[in-house]
This record gives sequence, C-alpha cells and structure tokens, in this order.
Amino acid sequence: MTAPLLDVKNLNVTFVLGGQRLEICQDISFTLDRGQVLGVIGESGSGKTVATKAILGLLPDNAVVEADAIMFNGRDISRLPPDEFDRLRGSELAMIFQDPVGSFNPVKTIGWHFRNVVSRRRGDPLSAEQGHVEAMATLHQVDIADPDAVLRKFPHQLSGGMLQRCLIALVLFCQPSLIVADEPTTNLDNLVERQTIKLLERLRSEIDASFIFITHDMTIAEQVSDQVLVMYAGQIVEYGDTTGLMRNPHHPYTRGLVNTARELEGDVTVLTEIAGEGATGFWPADQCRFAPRCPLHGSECDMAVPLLDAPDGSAVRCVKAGLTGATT
Amino acid sequence: MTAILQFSDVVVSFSARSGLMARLAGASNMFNAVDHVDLDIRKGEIVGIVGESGSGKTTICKAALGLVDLAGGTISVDGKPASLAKGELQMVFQDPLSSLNPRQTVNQALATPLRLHGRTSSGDLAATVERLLRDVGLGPQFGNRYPHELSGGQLQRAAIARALATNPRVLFADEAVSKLDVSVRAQILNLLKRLRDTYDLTIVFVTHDLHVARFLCDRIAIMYFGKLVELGATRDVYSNPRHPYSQELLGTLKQDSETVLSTRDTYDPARDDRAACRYLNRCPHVMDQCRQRHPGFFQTGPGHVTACYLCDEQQPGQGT
Repeated sequence: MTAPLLDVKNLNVTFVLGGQRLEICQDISFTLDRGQVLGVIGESGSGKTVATKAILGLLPDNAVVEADAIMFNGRDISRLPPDEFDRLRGSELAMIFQDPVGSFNPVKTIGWHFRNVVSRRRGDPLSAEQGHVEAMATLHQVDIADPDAVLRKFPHQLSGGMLQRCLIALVLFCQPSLIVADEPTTNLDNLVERQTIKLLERLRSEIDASFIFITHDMTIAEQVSDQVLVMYAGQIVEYGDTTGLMRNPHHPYTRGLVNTARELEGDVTVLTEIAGEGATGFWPADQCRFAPRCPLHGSECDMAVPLLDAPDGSAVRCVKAGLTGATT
Repeated sequence: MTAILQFSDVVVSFSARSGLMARLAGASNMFNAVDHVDLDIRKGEIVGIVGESGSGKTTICKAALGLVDLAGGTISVDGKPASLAKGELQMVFQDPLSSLNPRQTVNQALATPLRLHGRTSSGDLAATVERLLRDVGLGPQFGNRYPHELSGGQLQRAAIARALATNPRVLFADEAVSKLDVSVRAQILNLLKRLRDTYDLTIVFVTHDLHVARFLCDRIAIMYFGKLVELGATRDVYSNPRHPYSQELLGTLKQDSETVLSTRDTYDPARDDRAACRYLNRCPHVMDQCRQRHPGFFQTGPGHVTACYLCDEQQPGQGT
C-alpha cells in the first residue's frame, strides 16, 4: 500500500493575542489518500478552517503551529523554509475560499487573474494567445458556456456562482494534488450550490487530486466525501468513513448533527435540538469540552477525553460512546 | 380564512444601470425586481418565500415594511394601507450582529421600540423587556449585555425579541437562520414555530434553504426573477410542483437527481422581452405564447396556483 498523500500528525495551533495564548486546534491527526475526499464538519469557531490553513501555511504571524509532522507526498512540509513552501502552494496545494467575490481583485478582469496565475506558476510567462487558449479550455471544464466573454469581464459583472466557477477553474489551472475547499457553497443559493457540488463531484473523477472539503452541512458532507472528520471546540470528536458515520454516529454531537439533517429531510413538526451553543476560547482541562451541552454528561466525563477507537474503525472522543448504541 | 396581509399587483422597480453616464443621459432603464405580484397572507400561517438570489424575495418584504418604494400596486394590512400599520409589521434580518446597535445593551435595544410606539407605560418597561427575553429563551442576565458579548444564536433570539416588542401581527424573517450554526438552527426554527402560537403571529419566512422551508412553512410561494410562479400548501408544492422552475428547484432535493441545471440563460432584463415569461430561456417546454405574454395564474389544485401555460386546462393537447 502506498503512503497517503497527506498525513497530519498531532497538529496544534495556538494564537498569541496580547500576551494570552489561545489554543485553537488540539491534536489534529488524519490521513488523506490520493483521489479521496475528506469532509471536515464543525460549527463556527470549531477550528476547522484554522486547522486546514495551518496545513497550507496560510495563518498570520501570531499563530503558533506545532506538529509532529505534516507529511505531504512523502515530505514533511511543517518545517519547510518559507520560500520552498511558497513554491509548493498554488502548484501542489490550493485552496478554494468561501467568498468568491473577495478572492478576486475587483479592478482586474478574470483574464488578468488567469494570466497572473500562469506566469507565477510556470515561471516563464506563456504567450498571450497560449494562455488565453488554456484559460478557455479550463473554463469550459467548469461548464462556463462562453469563456471568451467571461475572461474579459470584471468580477462584479459575474454572479456568485459564476465567480465560484472561475475560482475553481483557476485552481484547476495549476493542477494541484491537494485542493482545500472552505465552505465553497455557503454563500450560494440552493440551485447554484447544487450545480457547484455536481461540478466538484465530476471534477474529482476527472482530475487527479484529493480534496479537503470544509462545510457545516452534514448533507453536503455525506454527498461529497469518503471520510468525515467532525470537529468541536478545536478537537476532533469523530473521524471515520462517511457511510458508517452517517448511519451510526457515535459521538452525541455528531448524532445531533445527523439527526437534525435527517429530520429536515424528513417530515417532523419539532426538530431535536442540541442544547446550548458552542463556546469558544477557554475550556477546563479536566472536562470533556462538549459536556456542558451533552445529554449524556456524567461524572465520567470529568477528564480530558482522548480519541478512542470504535469497533467499526472510526475514532470517537467520548467515554460514553460505548454505552450509547455503538455496535460491537 | 381571511387575509391579514395583502399584496395586490405589487411592483418594485430598480434602475438597471446605476452608472454615472446612464444617469446623466437620463436613461430610464428600470426593471421590475418585483413584477405584478399578488399574494394573500392568511392570519396565523407561516408562508415561505423561496427562490434564488435576485428573485425579489427580500425586496417584497422590504416593500411591505416601507423600506423600498412601490412603483405600483398596494400592500394592505387588514384592509388598511401597510404604511399606516405602525409596529404591526416587523422584520428579523439575516445577520443578527449587524442588525443590533453595537453600543446598546439588549435591554436598550428592546426598550427603544416599546418607547417609540408607546406600547408600554414607563413603569412596565422593565417587566415587558424581561418577559420578551424570557419568551425567546433568554434569561434576564442577558439584558445588560452588549451584542458582541452574545453568541450567534443568542443574538438572533435578541433580534427576534426586539421584533416582538411592538406586538406585531406579521413577522418577516429574512434568511433568519442561514448564518447560524447547524446545531443552533434547530433551536431557532423551533422557537419561531412556538412563537407563532404564543404570540398569535403570522410569519413570512424568506429562505433559499428548501429543507428549512418545508419544515417551517404551511404554504410556499416560489419566486423567479420578480415573478411569483407558484403558490400552494407546502405539502402539495413539494410533492407535486407544477411550474417547470419549481420542478427544477425542488428537484435539487433528491439525492440522486441528475438534473443538470443550466448555468446561463437566466432572465436578463436588458435583453429579454419583459412581457414574456421570464423563465422561457431555461424552460424545456417553451411554447409560442410564452414569448408573447407572461401567463397569469392557473388553478392547479385546492389553494394551489401556478403561473404557467402548461397548467391551462383549457389548452388542448398540452399536458404537463
């Protein structure tokens, strides 16, 4: 068996703010095989974006990123000097951001963005015609019907869905082997969201890349990913195969999310609520971080709960998971 | 059932080109963001207005609240013009943080509408504020906090409490849960349902989330580029959508749907004939008459109407 494309070992991210240390991500470990899609689920402030930005080296200077190793393509990228990392980012590692409008320079045409990416990534600038031809082909790949016109447009002249397509096209243009998509459909309406998901699903089979797909929507994660990683308060609370996790979620938080998603798809008059809200910032070291909201909370939870192996191969951060319907 | 809120032939228009040159040239390039919409909202129901961005679903709510001017038609509350129905219509916005004044505590935010509308004597003010907070599931300790000290769900609860302060008859909720975390969304949706009963409210819920709309709403109004294209009981519309656009939209709910949605050919007011059906560029069933005139409503079931010539039963040889 070949080594995974990405192997993250014990990633910790801390922000230093005015002398205070804020621990944002703790003990994040996962692997991603070639051609696979990992769905990362969590609410705002759960650390899902920070964890992936840490992998891509996109965090601001006051972030302290520590990891045993971040192996990418057989190489530890957690200790690369900045200029080497810079060469990797964009060509091998790429990110699709949540807000397509903010990802483009508003006073430049779409074509300018493509030309810029080409000259930066290929070293020697392509001839204008050659760049144009390749950009057109890539835009075709993301179902843009009239790429010639789109290349001449400015970002504000395109709709959110079109811009997101252009952004995806820009990323494809670099032929990266790892693409991080950070809530790429959150700002889009249903129909356009559906189109974008379909597009990403199709591209996955067409290009040779792995995806990390960040979302807060269980339904979407189920649809696009092979594995799901659920984060809560900076920690992984559950990590396993999508099918198994959706059918038999172990952690009470995951179960709450799956229930809500299933209920909204079905026919109910009252939704099951997860009480309370995700606290951000500080957690007592000697208590499960989900305990204040957890329906199963008991005295056993007053400890720093480790990730436990469930019989079905998934990992769960809950001491009560074994007692609450996990299969043997 | 009687209508509490009536939209009759409502038109809201915006200038399509806002550029300086266009304004200097005096070009009146107006297009109708809400185009001749008739809609009756009945007392005590929750109506969902769904549609994609740009369909005019927010604009129609703003028109009712007097936040945009009408270019035609009337909006009335219990038979009297909406502009006279002070405090009877209230709105909850999508982003609770930006809809609350950052320098006012929750108590102040709730007291302001009470004072302005003179609904409460000053002695009862504190008690009323506390009751409002309790009704939306916030303890009195939240009253002295500022918006930045509250989480997203708590903020949205506070915004709902403020909207309830004037004891409104109709509450407009514009994407009120779309910015909230999934685990909090369920709480707010259940709260809205509960408040409908305790406050005897009528709710107009604007959303593009079809799952949320199905859970919350009694009736669904589907809009497409300013036109109301289908209206009916949620169950009927979801199980048997009649307008081709509704079919396309609701088709996205099916996990295995192979609907490939067109990425172009949406309605463009600058190019397309404004009298024609706005969906015709995307419609698989387009006919000659669609290009001539936008269809009116055809009855497609009890309380279910659809604006599509396919639903005209007088029309021989045209099935659905």
